[in-house]
Amino acid sequence: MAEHTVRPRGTTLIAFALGVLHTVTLLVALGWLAYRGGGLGNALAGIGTAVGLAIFVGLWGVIGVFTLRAVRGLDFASVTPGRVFERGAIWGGFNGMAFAAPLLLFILVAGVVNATREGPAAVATTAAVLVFYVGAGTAVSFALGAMVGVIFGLLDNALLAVSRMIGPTRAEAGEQPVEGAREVEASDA
Amino acid sequence: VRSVHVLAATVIVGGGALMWALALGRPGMGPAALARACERYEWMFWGSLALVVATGIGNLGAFGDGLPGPQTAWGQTLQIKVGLVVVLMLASAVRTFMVARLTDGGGDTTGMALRNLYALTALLGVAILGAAELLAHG
Repeated sequence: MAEHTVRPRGTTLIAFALGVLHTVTLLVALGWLAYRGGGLGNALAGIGTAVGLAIFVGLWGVIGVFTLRAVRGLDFASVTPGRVFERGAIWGGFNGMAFAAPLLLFILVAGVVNATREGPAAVATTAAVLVFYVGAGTAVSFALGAMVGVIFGLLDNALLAVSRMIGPTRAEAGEQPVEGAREVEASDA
Repeated sequence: VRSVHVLAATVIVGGGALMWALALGRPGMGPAALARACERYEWMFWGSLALVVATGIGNLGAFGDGLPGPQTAWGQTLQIKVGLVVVLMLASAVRTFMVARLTDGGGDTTGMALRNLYALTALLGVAILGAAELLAHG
């Protein structure tokens, strides 16, 4: 179960690095598409510096939290590509839901509040319809997030493979097992 | 915003060059101290990269409608710069995986591969600074 050995310092560093990597990759990809389409200048000027920085920090924070959760308990010296994909898909899905949740919640609350003007029957009908759409939206956001998570899993696996290919293995470097490492239950995934 | 952008870029390039020099000669520095320095640089690198990108986007926003298009010489230089940043980021992720793997077990961080990756970090950083100079002053 080497895969589940926690190496706190290394895992936290990798989570931090991958959180930045994924956030920046997402922003660069979207920014480049907008730039090629001619809409980047307008979009950025409309946002403003303070709001832009707040969006970046928010995006980075959310991606960082889910990346930390995704890599928790993984030993990057021995983890398999399949495990990275699996974690990427699951936690990418939750990440997608986290991005969509505030918007979906706002739609639900605003719809119900508007319906109160038309009486209790309208509230019940509107709430039922909106709950269905919010449920569907949650499922779609999970699927989209999982898809992005798998793409990032592909990227992470490739980078990990290169680092293993060109760098020394633990055994070659004469390393000892980490003192204080603990085993994590499989359910922790 | 520009000052933060430049300061963060300085940490990335200067730190990369310093780590390259330390990995080459490590004057008066034991392997354990070097491993700690490697690990600290990784934290600083990724934090600084986030700052560079956030402030870089802010710098582009300052152009507003006047942002030169992708077909102009300025636009092409910008795309080359961003491309170099992506290469730096990917090479650095490889380096971070290696540092995390080695420092976790108290391994030797003076290997050839790591040394070369620090060299690549410093050189790519200088190339990005060159592109930035072209963008700022033509």
